[in-house]
Amino acid sequence: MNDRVVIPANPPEAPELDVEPETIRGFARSLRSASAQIDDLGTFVGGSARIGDWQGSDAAAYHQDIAPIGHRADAMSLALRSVHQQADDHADEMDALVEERTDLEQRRGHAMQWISGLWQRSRDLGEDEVPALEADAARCQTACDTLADDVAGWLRRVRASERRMLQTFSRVATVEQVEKKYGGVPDPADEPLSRMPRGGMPEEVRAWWDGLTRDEQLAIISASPGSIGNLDGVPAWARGEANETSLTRDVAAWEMLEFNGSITDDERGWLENARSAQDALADTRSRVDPVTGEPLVSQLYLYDPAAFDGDGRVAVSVGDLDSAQNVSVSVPGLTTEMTSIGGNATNVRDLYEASRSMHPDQTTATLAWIGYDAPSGLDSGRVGFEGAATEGGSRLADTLDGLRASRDDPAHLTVIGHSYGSTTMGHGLTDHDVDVDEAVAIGSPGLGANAADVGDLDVPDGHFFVGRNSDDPVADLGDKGWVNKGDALGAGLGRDPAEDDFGGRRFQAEDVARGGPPDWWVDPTPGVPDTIVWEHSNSLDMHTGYYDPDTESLWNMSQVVTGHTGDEDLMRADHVHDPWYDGPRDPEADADIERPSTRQRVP
Amino acid sequence: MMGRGSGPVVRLAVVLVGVILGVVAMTGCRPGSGEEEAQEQGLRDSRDQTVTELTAALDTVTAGLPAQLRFSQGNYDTCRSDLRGATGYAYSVNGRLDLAVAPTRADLTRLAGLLTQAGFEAEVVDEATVRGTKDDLTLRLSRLDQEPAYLFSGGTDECFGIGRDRAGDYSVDKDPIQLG
Repeated sequence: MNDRVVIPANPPEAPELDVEPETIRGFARSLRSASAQIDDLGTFVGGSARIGDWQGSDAAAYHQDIAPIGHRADAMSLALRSVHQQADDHADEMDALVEERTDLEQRRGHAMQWISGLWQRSRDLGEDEVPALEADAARCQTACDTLADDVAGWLRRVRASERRMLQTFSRVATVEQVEKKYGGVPDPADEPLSRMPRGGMPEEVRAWWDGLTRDEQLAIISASPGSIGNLDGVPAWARGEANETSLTRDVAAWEMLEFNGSITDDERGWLENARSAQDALADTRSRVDPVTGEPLVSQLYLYDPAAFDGDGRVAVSVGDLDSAQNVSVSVPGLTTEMTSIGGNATNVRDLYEASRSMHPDQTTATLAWIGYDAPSGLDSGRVGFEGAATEGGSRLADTLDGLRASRDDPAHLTVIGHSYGSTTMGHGLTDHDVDVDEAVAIGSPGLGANAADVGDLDVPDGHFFVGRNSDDPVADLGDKGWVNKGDALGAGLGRDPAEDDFGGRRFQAEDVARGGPPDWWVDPTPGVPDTIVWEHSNSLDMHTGYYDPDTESLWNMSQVVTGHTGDEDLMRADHVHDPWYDGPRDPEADADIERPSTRQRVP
Repeated sequence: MMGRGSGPVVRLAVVLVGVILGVVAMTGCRPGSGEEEAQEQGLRDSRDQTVTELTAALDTVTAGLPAQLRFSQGNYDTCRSDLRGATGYAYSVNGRLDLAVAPTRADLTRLAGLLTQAGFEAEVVDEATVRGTKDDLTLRLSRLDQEPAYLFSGGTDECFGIGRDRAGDYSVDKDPIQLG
């Protein structure tokens, strides 16, 4: 060994960072919801707790007594909000520091390998090799010094972040501190809210929102989440944060009433709706992106658990609606209400995962939109009429406008309507000016009375698609025209969009269980008493499997959502044909069923 | 334009069907049976078998390339449903393998060889994907274009019916797997 060459010592290790940023974020969300709850108390005491007709000395005494409570509640709300904000920042900082530590550890690993190599070379070193080894050792020393500096800097940032968090806590640790710091301080949300355009176009809303400071935006999300949670034109991240603040607050409040035994039937229904949204978000976030392995982003784009006489209104995304290159909006149909969001979120999650897996170089966000009062439960009879679809089409058009207005860079936007949801989509596309790139009808009983053919739809030429399983009894309801009108005598909701005269582009969407037994049947076994047998492979499944993984339908929809709409990009299907002399014929009924992988890249 | 009206009787029938479907979906009424328990057990067995087989196959692949497992996750894929959501599932797994350098089309042949070594019948499907099959199990690996990685997915097509009251338990894989 040559002792003339100084080989660097091992560089310092960045200490293990035992932190879960997502847990800190959850804590921050709880603080924000608590802040919103307490802010509501302040508002109540300051406003609605005042009884207009009650005057005189007793009323004055009462109001004098409760005034400090309101004052204190407002201060407490602001204090919690400040801690929430710091906790949120702390979580972001910790995310960055965890990533930085991984990088530092990788560099340390390389340095150790380098040092080990230097030691090996230094054994049995020839005289002529000394200068080269000295030079290499010097370079290694420089790299180790830089790494040591970076580790020290990283450690300083860890401590500084922890210190800021602690300081924020310690500033509001007592009621006195809170009152001193925040008592009488105007809520930073109040003034910007007073300027909010009421009933304005999404573009005006967007301009108002963009004109706010970051602090004002965050203050509104905390203090008045209901004012922007469902407001078209506000970016999805802010709507999601606001709606989750409302959601957490509502669940806490109604669970308290449930615990006390004082919850009303209405409130119990709203609680069930809210929990459904909570579960859908949690389920989505428990999954990871199929390309990056990062947890899935999910935004609560609509939240109104008491809407539509308690059926509720909700929309949950998979992926980031603000930044994704492709955005799709899925509109479900019959039986849909807020408690159905779990199944609908699974559908759009399958669409998201397929789109990402098939085209990993593109980013996508898919939205399960239960934003209208679909026929459901006891009012399912409305499925035979277009009233709910007409009203829903208007709401859908507003949502599409909002998604467009809230972004600078236009997403490739696809709207997908299933079943009665396709009728709703049809009204959105015929009764309103919308700006979508693609539209897809699956399992459609018709797009409504205003859609005689594709020319009536506000969709670019050649970008209206139809997926229809030939065994789907609902898709069979659409009017085929001519003599027989179809198996259901044209009792559907307008023209069958899969028919050749309609002018849409049909893709293969056959169900793998096509041709199976019906939903229930009488056991024909000789000697066995008549028994009604239920089969899982049922006719209704022929109508509900369009989003199932590894199906023609999901594969084709993913191609459309990601903008791969050339004839060679899709599994094209022949149209339903209705000759004048006979009943309609669906050539797909005899076609082979394919099982394309929706988790495989499309080259 | 072709006519599109419908008689009141037919319209009434559609309305009634809507009401029945809505109420059935709302109440979730569907008779239970021992068959459902057997189906659920079948799903669990399918999961165990998929995880065991794919773990072994990916061990061979990661050692041979070499590659590192970045992540894996299990999926209960909906294969049967009604208006309220899934009523049947097939189990599958997907994930990602990271490599030192981005694979080219030529590397797929080598990957197919490793799958063969792992007991699969393997073929290069197209310029991006290799598919291996072993009995009723399929494993696919697709290379990414500009990243040194393969995305993989594997499972069987077998669909197991799960009663509506139990279907919600399978909305996500609540006992996350980690292959390799």
